Parts: sequence; structure tokens; C-alpha cells
Amino acid sequence: MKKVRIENISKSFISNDNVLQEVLADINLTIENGEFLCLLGPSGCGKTTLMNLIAGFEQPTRGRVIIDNQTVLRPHSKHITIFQDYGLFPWRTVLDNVVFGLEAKGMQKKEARDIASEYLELVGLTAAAKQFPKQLSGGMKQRVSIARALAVEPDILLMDEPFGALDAFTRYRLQDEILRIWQEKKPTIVFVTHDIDEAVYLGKKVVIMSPNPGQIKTILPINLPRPADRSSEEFAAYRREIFRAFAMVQEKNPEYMI
Amino acid sequence: MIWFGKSFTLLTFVGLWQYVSCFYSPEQLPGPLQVVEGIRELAVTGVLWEHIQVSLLRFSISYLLAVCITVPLGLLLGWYTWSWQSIDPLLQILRPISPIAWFPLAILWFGIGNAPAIFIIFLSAFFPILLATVGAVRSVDTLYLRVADNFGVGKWTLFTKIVIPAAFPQIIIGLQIAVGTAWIHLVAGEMLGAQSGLGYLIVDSRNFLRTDWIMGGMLIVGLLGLAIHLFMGFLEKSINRRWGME
Repeated sequence: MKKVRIENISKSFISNDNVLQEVLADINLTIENGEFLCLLGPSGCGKTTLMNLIAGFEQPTRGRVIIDNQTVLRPHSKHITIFQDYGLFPWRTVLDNVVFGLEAKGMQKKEARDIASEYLELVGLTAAAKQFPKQLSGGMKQRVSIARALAVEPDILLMDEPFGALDAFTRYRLQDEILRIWQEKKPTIVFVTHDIDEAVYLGKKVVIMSPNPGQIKTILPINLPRPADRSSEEFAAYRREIFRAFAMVQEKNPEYMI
Repeated sequence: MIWFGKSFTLLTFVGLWQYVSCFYSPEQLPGPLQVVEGIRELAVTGVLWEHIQVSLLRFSISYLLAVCITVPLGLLLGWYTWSWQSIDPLLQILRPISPIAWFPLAILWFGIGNAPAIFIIFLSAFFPILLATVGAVRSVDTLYLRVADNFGVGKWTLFTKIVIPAAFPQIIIGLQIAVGTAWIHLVAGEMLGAQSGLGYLIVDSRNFLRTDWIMGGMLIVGLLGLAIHLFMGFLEKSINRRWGME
């Protein structure tokens, strides 16, 4: 079943020096219900902008985003974004951060706390419930923000380079965790990344984007068992394929000279 | 080592003061011992405590009044950008005018007594608090607003549960600055119009040529100012702890 339809989207900004800049040009994409989709590309390819359009934080210059047969005009509490900088409220404890989304839905404090505790358990942070975000490591902070997002039972999770600021080992652990959560809860996930390994490891489908203006280069379905073996032949084959796709991007816009 | 440095500075200051005072008459420059004796004299008769009480009460009323009016005003002006932009030019003209310059007007409007002093203290706290509050609201991280928007909170909840707590630590800094400026202007306000308080004590002592009382009053103003500053620092710390800022 189609969950998200992106129809002929273009997005332009007027930059500081008054030049019209096209960030996205003619994007068409459909995302199936319960799919794990990765948007992969170098910086400046508009992947974050595309995600912001799906989230409803921004409006396209042309075209439209349709979710559940409705045009997206504003953010929705069923489509939760997880940011690279976590977006936790420093004045609230870990538990109260997770409670926030539930309270916003009008839930009673007591019930909200119970549900929030459940989701903290899901991400393994029960012990940190009373702490403040300042006291946590980056990986733990991102877990809190994942718990906060999941607690409101969204049907779409939009993740904007969520593990970009974390060290490699923490990143691997959180990748496994998000896969486990996806298999358990089956939300639709749109995951923005510039890390090729991460895209292959997580995505059922990898959308490869190219910059100037941002366009979809190819869409690569990934058929690997989950969790995948990062050192396997098949994994390497997918990586090679993506490298080849990016090499094609570079042949069009050579950035280097020999 | 630091304690040594601190005591050294204070003792040297008192020593120098004592030494220099030997060359002047007590009416021109009383020594530290004479000043302490003067304070004792005032304390024994009970006059000193009355003045301190009046000053502290006057200060608390004006300062709290300033906080209660200015913080909400700053929150609104910071939140509605257009309102701040419209009012900003007027404030930039009023701000450089010393609160003391308002004194003649204050007398004309409110008469002699408590009101002009309260008005001047209020004014001296008004601008630091207003600017800090507006700045705090305007610099609230847009990421917080985005997250709140995403979870679908209403405008009112956004303001009370996100904007105010996010701005709070910066507002507290403004409040602390305002305590300092307000305390300074307390004495000025009391010197000009009031019939009581530490500022009045200083002016009145001049009329009797009791320089030891003048300096005693100054010393008490300084010590009380220090105490208030320390108290505010303590308050800020405990609030920060509650706010997860430590």
C-alpha cells in the first residue's frame, strides 16, 4: 500500500546574494507502508530539504507531497521527525521529555508517565529516567529522542542524519536498535544519511540523490537479511553499486583534475 | 592562597585608610575605627535598623514590581517580533536617560515620599530585565519550536511549555543584573526625595556633618548589596539545578 506519494516536487530558495537557487528539481517518489527507505547523497543534494517537505516543515515551490491521500500542508503528530541534534528539552528530565509528546496529545499525566516508561525501557534507558539530557552521552540522547518519537505511535518516522554526530561504535549499536524497533513496530521510516554503509545496512530501498539541483539518481532495492553481515560479499556488492552510481554523478560534474 | 590574597587586599585597604585619615580632621575623613564607632552609635539607638528595614522593603517592592511587570511584557514583545520592532526605536531613546534624570518629573507626578524612590528603582531595573527577556525569547532554539510543532502542541502550550522555560536561564541573568542596578539607584532615589532609608541617612548625616555616619551608611549599603548579590547567585544556582543546566 502506498503511504507517501511525492509528485513532481521542485523547491527553490532565494539565497542571501539574491540568486534563485533550485534545491530540488522534479522529484517523484512513492514510499510503501512499513518501508524502510534511505535517502543517500552528498551534502547539498537536497535530501534534508526533501525530508522537511515530507515532514511538512516546508512547502514545495511546485508539486506536492501526499500522505494517506492527503496533501501535506503542515507537520503532523503521526509523522515524527528525529533530528541529528536530538531536539531534547534541557529543562525536562529524560522521562518528562518522552512524556511531552503524549501530553501534547492531551493524555493524563499518570498514563503518559506509564507509557513513557515503557518506551524508555524499549531503548534501554529506564535507569536514566530522572536524569537531565545534559548528563547523557550523545548516543543516549538520541535514544531518548527515539523513545519520545515512538511513544506517540507515529506511522512515519523521519530521521535526519540521526546518528551523524555519534562515534562509530555507538552508531553501529543504534543502527541495530532502530532495525529491531522497525521490525517490531513496523513504522514507515525515511532515513536521511550520507553514509553509504549505513544506507545499505538499514534501507530496504536506497534512494541515491545527486546535487545541483537535487535530483533522484537511482533507486536501489536492497535484498539482504536483517541484520545484514557488513563483511559479506553481498553487502560489498551493494556498496560497489552505490559507488558506481556516485562515480556517474562525478563524471557529469568533474570536481577534480588529474 | 586565594584567601590570603583577599584578606591582604582588605587589610591593606583598611590600613591605608587609617593611615591617610590621620592627616585629616574626622569631619573630612574619619578613620575606619571612627566609622565603626559611628555605626555602633546608630545601631544602639535603633535608627540604623529602621533605615535598613525601610530601604530593604522599598527595594523589594520596587524590584518585584519591576519583575512582575517587565518579564511578562518582555515575553510578549519577544514573541511578537513586529511589536518589538515597532517599540524598539522609542526604547533606544529612553534607555540612555539615567533614571535619576526622571527625578524632577517623579516629584511632580508622585509628590515627596516613597513613590518617587520606588519609581526610580523601578526604572533602573526595567531596562535590564526587558532587554534580557526579549533577547531570551528571540534566541530560543528553533529546533525546540520545530519539535513542539511536530508533536502538535497548541500556541499557548508552545509559549508556556517551550518558550518560557527555554528563555528562563537567560532571563535570570537579566534579573541578576537588574538587582545590581536597582540597588545602586535605591540610594540615589532615597537621597533625592525620601525621608527615611539608607540614602536619606547619608544625606541627613551630611547636614549634621557626621562624616562617620555618612561613611557608615555607605559601608552598610555596600555590604547589603554584596549580601543581595550572593543571595541571587545562590538562587540562580538552585534554579539552574532544577532546570538541568548543570
